[in-house]
Amino acid sequence: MANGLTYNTAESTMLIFNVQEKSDWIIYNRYVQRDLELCKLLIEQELQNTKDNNEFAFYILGLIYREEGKIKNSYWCFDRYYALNPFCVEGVKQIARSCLLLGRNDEAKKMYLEAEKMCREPDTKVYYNLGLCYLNLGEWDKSKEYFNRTIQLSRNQDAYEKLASIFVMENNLKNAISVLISASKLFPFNTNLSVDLGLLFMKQREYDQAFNVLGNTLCQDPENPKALLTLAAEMQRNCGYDEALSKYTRAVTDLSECSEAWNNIGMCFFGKQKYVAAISCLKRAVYLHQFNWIALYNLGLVHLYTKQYVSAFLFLSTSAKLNTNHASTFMLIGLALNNMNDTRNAEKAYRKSIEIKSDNPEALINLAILCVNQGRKVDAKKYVNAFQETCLSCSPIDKEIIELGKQVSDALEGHCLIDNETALE
Amino acid sequence: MPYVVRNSMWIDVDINSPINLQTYNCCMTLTDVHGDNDNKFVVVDFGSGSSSPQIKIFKGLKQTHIIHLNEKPSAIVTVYTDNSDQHIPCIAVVIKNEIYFYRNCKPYHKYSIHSTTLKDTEECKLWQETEGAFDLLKHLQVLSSTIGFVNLSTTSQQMLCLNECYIEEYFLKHKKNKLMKQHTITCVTELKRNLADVHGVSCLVIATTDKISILDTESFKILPDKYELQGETAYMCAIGLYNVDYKILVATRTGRLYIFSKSSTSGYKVEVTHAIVAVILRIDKFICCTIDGLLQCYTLKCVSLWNVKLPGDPTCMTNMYVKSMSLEFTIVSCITSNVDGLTKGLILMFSGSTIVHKILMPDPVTCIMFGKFGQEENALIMISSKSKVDIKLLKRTATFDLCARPTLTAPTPGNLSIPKRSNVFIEQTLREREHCNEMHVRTQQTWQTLQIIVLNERINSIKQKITNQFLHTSAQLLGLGPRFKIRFFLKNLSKEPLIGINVAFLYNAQYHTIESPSCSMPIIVPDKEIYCETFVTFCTYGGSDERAIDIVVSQRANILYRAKVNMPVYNIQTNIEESNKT
Repeated sequence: MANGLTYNTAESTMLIFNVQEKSDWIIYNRYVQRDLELCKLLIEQELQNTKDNNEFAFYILGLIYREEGKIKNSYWCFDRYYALNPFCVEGVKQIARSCLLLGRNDEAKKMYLEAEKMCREPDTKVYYNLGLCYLNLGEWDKSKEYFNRTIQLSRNQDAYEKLASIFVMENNLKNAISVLISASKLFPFNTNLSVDLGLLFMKQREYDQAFNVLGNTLCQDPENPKALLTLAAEMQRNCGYDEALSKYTRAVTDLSECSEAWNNIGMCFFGKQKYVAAISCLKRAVYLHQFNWIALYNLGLVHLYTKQYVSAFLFLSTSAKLNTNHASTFMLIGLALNNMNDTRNAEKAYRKSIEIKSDNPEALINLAILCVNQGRKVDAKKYVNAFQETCLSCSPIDKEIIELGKQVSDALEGHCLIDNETALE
Repeated sequence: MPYVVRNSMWIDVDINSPINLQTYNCCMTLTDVHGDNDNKFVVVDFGSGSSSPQIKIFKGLKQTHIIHLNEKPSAIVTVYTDNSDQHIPCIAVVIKNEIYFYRNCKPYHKYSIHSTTLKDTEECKLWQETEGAFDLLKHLQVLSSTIGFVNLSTTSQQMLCLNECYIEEYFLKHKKNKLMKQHTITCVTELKRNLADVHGVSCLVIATTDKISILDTESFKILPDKYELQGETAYMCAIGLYNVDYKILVATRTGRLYIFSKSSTSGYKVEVTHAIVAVILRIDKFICCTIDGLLQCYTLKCVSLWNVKLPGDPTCMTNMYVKSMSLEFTIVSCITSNVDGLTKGLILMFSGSTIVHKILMPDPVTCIMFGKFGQEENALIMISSKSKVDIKLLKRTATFDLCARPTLTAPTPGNLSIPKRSNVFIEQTLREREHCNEMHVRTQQTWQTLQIIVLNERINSIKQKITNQFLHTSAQLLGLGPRFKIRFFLKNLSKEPLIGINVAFLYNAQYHTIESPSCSMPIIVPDKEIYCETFVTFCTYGGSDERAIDIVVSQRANILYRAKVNMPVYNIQTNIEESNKT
């Protein structure tokens, strides 16, 4: 038999002050050294010797059961523990914890409130868990109050994280950010906090701040996939394709089955005008997630660039079926159809695109060109006017498009002049 | 041995006849037992469980003394109890509520924590008033369930745990005695009195189940400082001098950490989420290792400084102070398991939060100790889970690389695996560019043809006749037209009753209208025939094919029967148009 087991004889139990706790420390030692089988054996023996009267044995047994996922058994153990030592808060807390793990939030809340009453001094664990209970029950205000109390008492990083997540759920990003900033000052080594903070900055469109925070995160944890992906996406947005690609390459070792990552990699290659690589990456993204309409859209776009209009049309129409509210998809479908001389359907597609989003300069100018080519000058003029209006009202537009618009309107006016002249004649 | 080259900073002590010891970290110490300036390894061997534990003293690898103990000790610690020039320390052995002091391996003194007597409680009344042993037992059980077993006196606790045949005897023995509450010693540690020297006189900090007190080892009297905490102490460390200032770190079994100092009565406290494996106290901070594999560092005001995730389950931790280099490391022993599920030991040395050195061990190490062993200043003694003792000596030439190097070892892994452009791909692309129009038209045509084929197949499958051997059906068409009555008979041929039957009439709205095109049938008991009826009105004349009506019998989602009733030209009277038998 292994060490630590005693073979108590009847004689030893007859000693007058044979105190209970004599093998508790051995049980504890075995437990922390992860010798759980032996630990269970010791507990069994101890409970036999004391006729189920050793509270600490129950406590450890409860913890072991909890680790093994037998929450109900562990609940029972902690219940016994509590019965043997009803004035100790620990028992109530552990029972409440079991309830929380079993998903009985209401019961857990009641137990924790009980524990709060029993405590002589404020207990951070109780406050934190009460916060969790209220969060699960959907009472965010209460939950925030308890997380705040937890933070006041002890700087608990989990409480900071939860508090920030509540603010995010309430769409109060400013508060969430300020919570996370103070947390990340206290725990500069916690990458979870700083990644969350960086993502929130991204959401707030404070890209510089996000860049700083995420960069610092990567210094500590160069493999953090969240930070890598976010930074890479940000670089990609600023046309730093090579840097973005190197970040993606590192992230992809962990996320080799992430459709979005492959989509972004594909678009990096597209930005570098490596269309073949872009297509293969995007195809992988689609393969990994067939309903990823963005990847399908991108795939269509790249195929348009490589002048493979048939494939482009197929991918774009699939994307349009998955997300019927994306105006650009229909615009691109129109382009593809136009290039395949199916002007009737192309016009339909342009119109659909404008229907979804009325201030859509690309679709308007394409439609105008289509009309010009068909010789429908009145229609064309209408669309050019609409195009010019949107150019004035909406956000900055690619110079090429404006240039194109000018050409079209010039041509139209030229036509009009000619028409007028002919009319005069 | 397959050790890394950097491990050559250690010398492995060759242990010829293996030493096997079953012990715990708190039951080992390195001390100069005889005052001959040769540090001995003093350890409690718990043996295999059948024999009583023994204290073994090793001079070098040779076992020189054995002290037999009656009970399992919960800790041993060495203390210098006087300032004599011989410098002979005492080994203090804690057993239950008593501390035995051994000097020169001989019993020297015994100190006991006294029990407290209980008076005027409900429990006392029970003991005084109850006559029979078993009555008392019952009363005590009731009391135990109300105030809790823990809060009873030790005398009563003992009685509740006793085997039934001894209860009478026990009762008679203790009936006249006063009730006692006895506290056990859970932990002890040494605290120097007024001289921070190896040979300086120490006090003993004693943690019992209810409080922490300090024992003066010169007079064996309890000093006035007392600290209270919640829960039982699992580990305790002390630093400083009793007469000047000191800090005591206490870790409880429920995951609380307390810092007590001389000047204040209530200490700082922090609660960790998992059980504590080991603690180390330094001058300005303390390090705590928990079973979830975190190494956490806090200031003495319990503010978190850093935490590090360990590569495996930690088993023990010890402080390593190399005097010659004046370097202080934290040694953590972890269990790591490889792909085959075999567990191995890994010894990590941390300087601050960075790993400066690693040692791989074939078995998990459960006990670890660093200090002066014999004449060797820096010896590392490890006891594996298979109770084998390993000793390593630090070379005098050894150096540690203290630079914090980035943990990223592998440079950016190879390129993305992206297929290169193949000839087929280029061909296809070119072809698509050239013939995009035809391809598009052809694709769309094929696609539409496919859709048509699929739809046709679907229609055919709907029109197909389905029969069921347990269902006998027949239909009657009554009337002269243009209004007809369809009467549809169902007979159950099976042994089970049919429940939830629906009958639907599918028709072409161009030619007919049907008043109630579906009806749900009541339960059909075996061998019973029932029918449903509905009216059909002709709208126009038409070809014979389209004039047929489909009758579908379904049980919930399953179709049991489907057949076609050909409708007549309406001026010809027909009775039974069609009947189906199986």
